[in-house]
Amino acid sequence: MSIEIKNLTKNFGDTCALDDVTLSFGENKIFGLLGNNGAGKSTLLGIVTDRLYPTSGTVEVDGENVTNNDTALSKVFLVAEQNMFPEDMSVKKAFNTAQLFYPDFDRAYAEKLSAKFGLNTKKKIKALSTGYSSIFRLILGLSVNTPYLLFDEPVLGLDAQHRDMFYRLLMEKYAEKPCTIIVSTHLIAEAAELIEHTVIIRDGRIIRDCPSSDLTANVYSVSGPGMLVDAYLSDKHVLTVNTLGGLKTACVEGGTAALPEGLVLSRVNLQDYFISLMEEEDRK
Amino acid sequence: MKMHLKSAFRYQFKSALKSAIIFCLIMLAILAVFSILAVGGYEESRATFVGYGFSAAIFMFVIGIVSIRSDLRLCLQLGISRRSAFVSEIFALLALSAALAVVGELITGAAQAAVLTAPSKHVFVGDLYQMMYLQNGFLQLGFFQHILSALCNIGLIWATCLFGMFFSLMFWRLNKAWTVIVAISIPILLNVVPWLLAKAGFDPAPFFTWMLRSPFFYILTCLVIAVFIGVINWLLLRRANIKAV
Repeated sequence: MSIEIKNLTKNFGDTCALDDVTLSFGENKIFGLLGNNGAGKSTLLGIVTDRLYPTSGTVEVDGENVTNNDTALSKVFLVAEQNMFPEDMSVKKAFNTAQLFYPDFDRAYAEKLSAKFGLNTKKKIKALSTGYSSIFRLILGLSVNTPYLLFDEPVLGLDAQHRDMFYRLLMEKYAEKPCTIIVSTHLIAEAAELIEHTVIIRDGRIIRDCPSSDLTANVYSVSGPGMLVDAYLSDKHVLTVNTLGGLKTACVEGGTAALPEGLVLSRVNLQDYFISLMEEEDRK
Repeated sequence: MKMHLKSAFRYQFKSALKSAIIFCLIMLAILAVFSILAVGGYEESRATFVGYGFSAAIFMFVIGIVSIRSDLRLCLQLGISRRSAFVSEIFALLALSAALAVVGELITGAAQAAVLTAPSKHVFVGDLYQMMYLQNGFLQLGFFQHILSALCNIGLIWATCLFGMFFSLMFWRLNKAWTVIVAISIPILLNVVPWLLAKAGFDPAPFFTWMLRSPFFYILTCLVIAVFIGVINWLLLRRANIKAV
């Protein structure tokens, strides 16, 4: 029970959006799909849901190729950045339509969430603000009850309160009915607590794919006087170094050797790790 | 691979049905206005209502243009593959074409009956089949003739609708530069190609003579065109990137 991506390549003219990506999204886990703008996250999710046609490679959901396969596609729901419903459709009619296509669509839950977020279901989709347009799509995603739930920038335009509410609801949903959730987001710090497994994509290639705890467990930050830090870093895999006056801070990947006197070691969170990794990649 | 056509078909048919009902009401209103003008005291005036089939075809041409993209987006959002969305769209539009053709026969049948019983026979009600194969202005069609007339209209409406879909899909696939090139080329080609064909000595008259020999030849021609355009439409859609507006 998984989404298996094998040797996936997608070219848009001369631009290679995905380059021979092989990846697996296992059962009942929350994945974070992280990457800079234009890294290929949305393209990857678009191909998984058959919205985009791959140049080469395959995507399988529970062993079935997704291309032109209703059985496979009906197990996957993508909450994308953009609206795919007719703009003159009302929220209420969109719920009715979702109910027509998904027998497990929880209408009562969708209505309850609409009331909770203050979403007017009588409004037309085109009349919704950016934030409420996101909320509308999130509510659909939380109510469809598919085994695979994909979120592409889910909190776009949402205020802090609504973002917090969404993360809580997602966790509640996951605790109640475990499913595979893939969250592609730039707001890493906010989503970090949710993400069990991190996939980092850059320039269409997967550069990290492992449990979040492993990713950050192996990375730490060392700070102290410049000379001491430089000496300590001589045989280490350094991701980034920042200097402020005489103080130097370095992000290091690998085991922690005994620290010399005068240096301070601290843990690195997922966002800091991501930034450090991207800066290291920039230097390559 | 099992196709989930039922829900997509229901949605696609229902979404176009409202516009189709409005179209039928407009056609009825036009017929009513013509009848009132012709019968209501103007001895010299005559009204002719023969354009239902063509009007329905033009209406469905527009439906073909506007519905395919939004229906595909919605279907892909709701777990229906592009192939199933396309197949169900084709069948939904065929069902709608059939519904419009049947309504057309009901309207023309009722109007012809009314004309025959009315004291003043200043209103001519007919349709494509009647003009092409019967050429009898005041004839009231029998049941079998209505069936043939409906089949002729279904063929025309469906083929035109798929043609509208073709334009929508073609312009969806083209980039900006090609959109401009194709948009300019179409009217030029429409004028130049017939002229070139005539210059080359091509005479389409035998084909039209053959088609006018039997309504079944006409229906067959429409079906062949519809299937041909349908295949081209699928080729255009097969690898298209389905994006939001």
